[in-house]
Amino acid sequence: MDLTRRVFLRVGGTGLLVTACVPGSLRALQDVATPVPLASAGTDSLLVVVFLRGAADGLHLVPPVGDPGYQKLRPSLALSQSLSFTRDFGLHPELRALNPLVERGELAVVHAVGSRHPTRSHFEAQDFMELGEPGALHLSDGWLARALDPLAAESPFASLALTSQLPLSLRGSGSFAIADPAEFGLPDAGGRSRTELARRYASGGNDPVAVAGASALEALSEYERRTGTRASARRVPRRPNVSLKVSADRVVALERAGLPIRTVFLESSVWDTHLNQGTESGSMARGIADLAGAVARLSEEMAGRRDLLVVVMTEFGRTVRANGSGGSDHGHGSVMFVAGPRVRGGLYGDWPGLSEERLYQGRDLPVTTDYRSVLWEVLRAHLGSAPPADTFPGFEPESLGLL
Amino acid sequence: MDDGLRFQRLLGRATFGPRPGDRDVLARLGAEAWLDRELAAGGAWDPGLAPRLSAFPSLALEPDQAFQGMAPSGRRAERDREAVQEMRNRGREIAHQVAGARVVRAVHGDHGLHEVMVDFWSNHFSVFARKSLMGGLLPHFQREVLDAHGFGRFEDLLVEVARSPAMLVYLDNWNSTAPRFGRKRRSDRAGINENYARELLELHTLGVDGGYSQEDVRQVARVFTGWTLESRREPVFRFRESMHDPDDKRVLGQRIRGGGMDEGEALLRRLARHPATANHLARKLVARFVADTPPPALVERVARRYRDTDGRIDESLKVVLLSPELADPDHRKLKTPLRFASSALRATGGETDGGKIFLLALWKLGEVPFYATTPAGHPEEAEHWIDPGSLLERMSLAFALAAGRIRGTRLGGARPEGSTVSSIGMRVWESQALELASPDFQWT
Repeated sequence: MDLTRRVFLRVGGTGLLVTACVPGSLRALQDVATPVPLASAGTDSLLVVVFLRGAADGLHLVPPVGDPGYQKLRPSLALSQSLSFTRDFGLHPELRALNPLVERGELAVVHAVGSRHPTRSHFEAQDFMELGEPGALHLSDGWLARALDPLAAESPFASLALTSQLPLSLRGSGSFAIADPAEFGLPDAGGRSRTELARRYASGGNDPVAVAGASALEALSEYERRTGTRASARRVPRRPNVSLKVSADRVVALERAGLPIRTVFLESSVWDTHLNQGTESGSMARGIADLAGAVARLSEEMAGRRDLLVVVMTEFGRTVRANGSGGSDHGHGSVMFVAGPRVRGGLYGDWPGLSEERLYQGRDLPVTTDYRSVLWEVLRAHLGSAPPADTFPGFEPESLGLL
Repeated sequence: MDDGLRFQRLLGRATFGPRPGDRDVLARLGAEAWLDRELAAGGAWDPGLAPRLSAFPSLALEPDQAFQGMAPSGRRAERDREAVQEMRNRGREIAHQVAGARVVRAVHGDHGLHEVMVDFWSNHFSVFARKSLMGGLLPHFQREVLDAHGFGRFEDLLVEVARSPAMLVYLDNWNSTAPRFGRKRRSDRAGINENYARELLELHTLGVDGGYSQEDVRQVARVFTGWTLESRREPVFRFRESMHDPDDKRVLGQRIRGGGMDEGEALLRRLARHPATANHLARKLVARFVADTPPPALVERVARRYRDTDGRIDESLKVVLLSPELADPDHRKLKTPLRFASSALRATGGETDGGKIFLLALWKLGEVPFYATTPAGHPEEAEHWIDPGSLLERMSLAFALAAGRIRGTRLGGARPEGSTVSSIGMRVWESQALELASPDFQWT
């Protein structure tokens, strides 16, 4: 596979390379003559997967400011200001917390990326994406669960979701969803009750509730031992967290408390912007600022300590044109971010161009890169070797050279 | 057939859980008579709830009353942050009352199947309480849509939902206009919004595999242009001719002659009678009451009954609930968090005021009425709710309830039916907590 074929724009540590933003001329400009060295991933690699639920508008996150179709096709939604990223692509102003990463060449953006499955249903698209197979006819557990199988034996906390329910991506892994570490535990149950509970769950046979509950009780003991904390009873439960920044803070706290975390899953669900999406400011901008704040916080906290890898994904993009409500409807291609010290910063993917005849079904950004190619490279760097073959059954990843 | 298991399943699934004595009543009446009684009671006011529900005065509000006297005129509203904040708080308070009342009804309602179907439709036609100003629209949605049409013909329910201010706001249809809409002169503010049209086909009627295309979504959105609200300040349904796209449309291969509101009404009734809708609803009903993986033969029987009765929900339910499949020992169903908590309170003869503390506890488990974050509602299948973290939360709530730590909500002293815990050497509240936290109690 030609490692350079799809790499067309890159900034960062390797300097600035630029090409005109015209389809057909986006070829092979880079210096990747030698194979990308696999990261020397050891136990210090920390992978954070961020899922933007609701279909995040890639053209808002990473506006193609150099493409004449951008202003023409979405005049009311096009940003008039953006942070500079490459000559033809900017970043939404509310991503400014990522500036230090951009300057260090630690932010890679893959544009026009997604799943080639044509569905515009959030629920189907998320399920297919998280199962790891468009159409998902064969699978019932998550791509991340299969990929992390080699690490799963280390600890029940090797992979962790900071969500209220375990996401499909991790289903089948026995991983934990810890919505709020401050309330994680059984504050009202005494030692004798805990013992009796454990006995009942252990004797529950193959009842999936008993299996999951038994591992929960075992893991809780490990959690308490490692972190030296026990949840205390609160008179008023805390409100569930909906912010990525708060989730990032909790990841940092758990990691510092001594949990052997290798992989974390975060999510937010503010991205379905059918109405009053806004431009530089407004409802989507607030979500973007939250995302950037979370990634920046992780990056600062892990600097020099853990080998951080962040990947940001969404189920599909949004219509190129605005709808009748100052928003956008369900589309096709969007963006993915990959960030971290080992990442080769810049912009990746074949840019199709925003001209009417190039749009998917006349309305959406096409998908020119399969999201699994991105995840494959991220996983390879995280695991230090090729991910298990069944991670994405039947899928041939393309080489992007992100890492 | 094993009547014992059938009775257990009926009470566990067609109500929010058996209360002391419920089983005797069911055994005396038999399944059919019991079901007829539940269906007959459906529309009627449940007098037993009146004293408890009087704590929620917001339930009676009309959409245009919720913010009466609070909303300053449009432009000032933007400047007047305090007024906006005040409206937001009011909306939140109303939403808590409507959700709290639903929890009270689940726990204390005598019309068990009615409460379950209200919950079912509330997920099928999900709206999210935290969308801007939604709170003020929920009392109407609860009363006039969910309570009024739960057992009747599906198409009547579908039309009520489509005209409801809550759904018009939630799925943005109130903003969807013809491509050239006179008063919206800025081009960015005219044109369709596909959100409602897509979910109407995908979630409310045909189902995601129901055979429609992206172009159908667009055409359906055009049909519903003009289904809007009087105004933001007076959020009641209004069909506005000037916003409506008057041209012909083509949906699922059939031409729709350009008209007015009649286009949408006819389309809703057509969708309700579509065989894909019959299958989709039959599948969902069977998944709710019988098994997460619905037995195809039963789905087919339910869909046929639906088609033969012009979409009668009560008739379809009878096929589901009197089916031999309901009493198949292999067809276990996990209690979702709301069902788990309600059934614990019902089983022990407990009490709840539906107050904020209990709602927060339920929110932590992931299920409060009107607080599902997506238009698909709270998920039904066990796989969504079984993971180590979620089970720990259930155990934690069982202990918190038994310890009397959830203000306004307490367990009663009765022992759940089929109780197996040996309480030797345990304090009463501890053995009760263990009972409710055990694997067996999570299933029906």
